[in-house]
Amino acid sequence: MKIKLFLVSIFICGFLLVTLGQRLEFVEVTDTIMLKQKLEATSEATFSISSKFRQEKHLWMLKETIFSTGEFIFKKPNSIKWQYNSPILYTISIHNNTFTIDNNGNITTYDVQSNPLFKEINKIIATAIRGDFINNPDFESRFFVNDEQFLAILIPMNKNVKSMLNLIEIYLSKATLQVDKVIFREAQDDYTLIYFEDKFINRNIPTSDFILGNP
Amino acid sequence: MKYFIIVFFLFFTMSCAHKSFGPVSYDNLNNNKAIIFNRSFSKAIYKTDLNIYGHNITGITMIKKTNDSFRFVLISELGIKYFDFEIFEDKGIRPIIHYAIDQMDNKLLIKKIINDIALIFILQKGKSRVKKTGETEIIVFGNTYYDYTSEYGVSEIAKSNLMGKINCLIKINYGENKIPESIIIDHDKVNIKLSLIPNG
Repeated sequence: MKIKLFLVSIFICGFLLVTLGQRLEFVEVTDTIMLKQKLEATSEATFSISSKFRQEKHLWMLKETIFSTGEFIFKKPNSIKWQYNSPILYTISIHNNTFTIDNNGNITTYDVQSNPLFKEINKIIATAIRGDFINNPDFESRFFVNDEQFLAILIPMNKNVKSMLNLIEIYLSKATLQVDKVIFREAQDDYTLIYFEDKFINRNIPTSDFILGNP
Repeated sequence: MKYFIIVFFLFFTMSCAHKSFGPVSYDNLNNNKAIIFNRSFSKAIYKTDLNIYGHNITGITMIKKTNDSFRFVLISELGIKYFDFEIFEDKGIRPIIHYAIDQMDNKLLIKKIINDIALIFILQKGKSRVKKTGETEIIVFGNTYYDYTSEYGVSEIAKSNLMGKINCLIKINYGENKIPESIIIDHDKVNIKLSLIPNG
């Protein structure tokens, strides 16, 4: 009797694993035109995003991961703020072509054009979050789908981006077409994974939220 | 007059020689004092401010000890890797640049940064001289000076150029378990500040 129960348990576990595996396995999207139209429509209709985020930096050679958490806000057309609460207090805000950094109370403002490296990094991240990757000449894109998500794989074409990243994986909720998680894959198999949680779309975000140093 | 200047110059330079330093040491007692990351150190992460010729870069540095080397990896807060160096305790082995972001891939600059950072990782071998001032010992290996006290370990490293002028100065403060809590490296227009992130 016990052996029978054991065998049935194994069968059920195996069945569940196979079924879940099939549900989560991504297959390439054939009708990309339709998907691109949907993504563009969603991007058009998204005026603001506020969300918490968890970031994991995986250093493959060191077999180490650096964890960060914080809050993210975006408002059309180009205002973005990343507020890191852990492991360090650090906020970076891009607004009106300037970026302001609050490094544990020390506030510095720069012209976005003055730091090409930062400008490039920010452009990549903004592209991934805002869904600006459709018809973006800087990336070649491929789309995949499973039961829960769409996956957009972006291969950099731009020389500056290529030097930093091998590819970007953007996971979008199938239901809302909003970004759930982004993976930035670098050389040496290192990657950065950012999960967006507790998202609010089109919530009113005052412009003053992007101005650092406000009381 | 000409001879006077020559004699004066010789006299002056001789008087500036490290007369007050003790005899040259051939044992490895001082080698074991000139250590910043002690034997029990395995890894730590540091908040990092890097100022290079007026350009400021901030991020997080992971320092990890391997068998005979230290990995020094600086990433931006947003996760992009700036560089990844491997520096060997044996200063005879050249550091390895595993990665440097294209925008920072200036060989002379990277070499300068690595050489400065290496001072906190390399183990000194060979002859040394010591000058004692109260509790502090200044231990000299070639052109590298270590300020050492038995209570805090090495609090300062200075490296001089061929003319004897200090061109790189490193200040170290220690926290729990004698792991460096802050490290400040000053070398002309390259400044690096590392602040330990507790439980990071």
